[in-house]
Amino acid sequence: MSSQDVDKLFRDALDQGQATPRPEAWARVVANLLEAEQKAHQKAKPKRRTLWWPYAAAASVAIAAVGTWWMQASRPEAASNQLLVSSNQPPATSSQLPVTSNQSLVARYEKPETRDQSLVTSNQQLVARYSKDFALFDVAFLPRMEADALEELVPLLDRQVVVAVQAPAPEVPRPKYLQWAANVQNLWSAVQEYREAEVPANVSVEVHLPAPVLRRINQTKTLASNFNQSLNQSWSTLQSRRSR
Amino acid sequence: MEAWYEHIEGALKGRFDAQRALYEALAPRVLYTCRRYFTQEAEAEDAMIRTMTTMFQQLPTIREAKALPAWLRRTAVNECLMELRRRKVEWVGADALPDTGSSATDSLHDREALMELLRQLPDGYRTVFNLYALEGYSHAEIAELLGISEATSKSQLSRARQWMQRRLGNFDLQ
Repeated sequence: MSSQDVDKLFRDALDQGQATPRPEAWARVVANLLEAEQKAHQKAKPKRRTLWWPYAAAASVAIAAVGTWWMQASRPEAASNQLLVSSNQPPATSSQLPVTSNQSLVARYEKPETRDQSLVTSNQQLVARYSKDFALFDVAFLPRMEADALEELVPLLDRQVVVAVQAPAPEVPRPKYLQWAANVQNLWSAVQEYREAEVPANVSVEVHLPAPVLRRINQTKTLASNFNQSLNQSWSTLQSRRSR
Repeated sequence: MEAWYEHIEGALKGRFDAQRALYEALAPRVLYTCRRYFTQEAEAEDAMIRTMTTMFQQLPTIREAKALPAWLRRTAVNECLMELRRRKVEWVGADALPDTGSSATDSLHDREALMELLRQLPDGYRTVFNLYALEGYSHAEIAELLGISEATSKSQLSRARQWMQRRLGNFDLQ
């Protein structure tokens, strides 16, 4: 056999062939694409020069708010007014008031001036203002992994996390977890605190995040669901091949 | 028109099902090309995955959709060479040619047997043989791709062929 024959033999046999990849390979292609997309997205973010004054302003407002809250919380008659409390009636629809997710934490803890029926109504509205975003996250049922993932998604300065409580009546004493949650920094701790606290069954704690953070979470969810779909498809392909 | 062609438009629009179909149609060819360069299936699969990832990333920039299979093959070969370079494969005579080959070639027309025979060659010989005999590169091009001299490319090819001839010598070419 001449050397040209060898070349021809291999060329004829191996030039145009096909080999079936393992079903998992597609999932890895998708994972690579997602990873590359995320890297590109991070690169595309323009680097902004850090300005000191917004932080200073935010810090001073926060200090003032915490101070006010502390002083009011120390008065026993005012303590329950701090709660974002409503009756068991369903909250008013969110369309009544526009939702401003970017509103700062400070604004959510304004103390009502009087404690009467109108207070409950206004608190109901306050709760209703949050309700548009409530559907997304109910920390009470947040598993550890999701809480951690959420923590990673929320940069420190974006953590304007607000916890609102819907209690059966204003007379319900302020539970320990709520005092703590007023300045919530760690979602998983919030969940733990909530679970450990003995609260009435129909009290719920919900977390609000700034609009950009919510958008990012939703994007991540979409990507994740696409990825899961691809995994499922790979799995079903594998099953069908095995059954053949 | 081949089946993969109709999925291009959907894949470009970001439709997941079209991208999947395009992958299903083209990945087997790419994997087959990559298998010729590696002895381990996992290495070939890795190269195929990187090639397909590159394809989806570059798809909007590929002007002539009909040329996609040829583009894929070139990209797959480049991916394989990059991986071999990363592993610092010594192209020249580092590994002796095996004295004993498997009895893979029971039939010369058994493609899988020939594939196995090819994969028994050491990396350097196999790469040169692949590039010359199967991809159609010239010795000058191979020398540039692998960073070796043309003379080395020729001698590697010659020794690989001789080894193949010995292995195939007992079989009658029909």
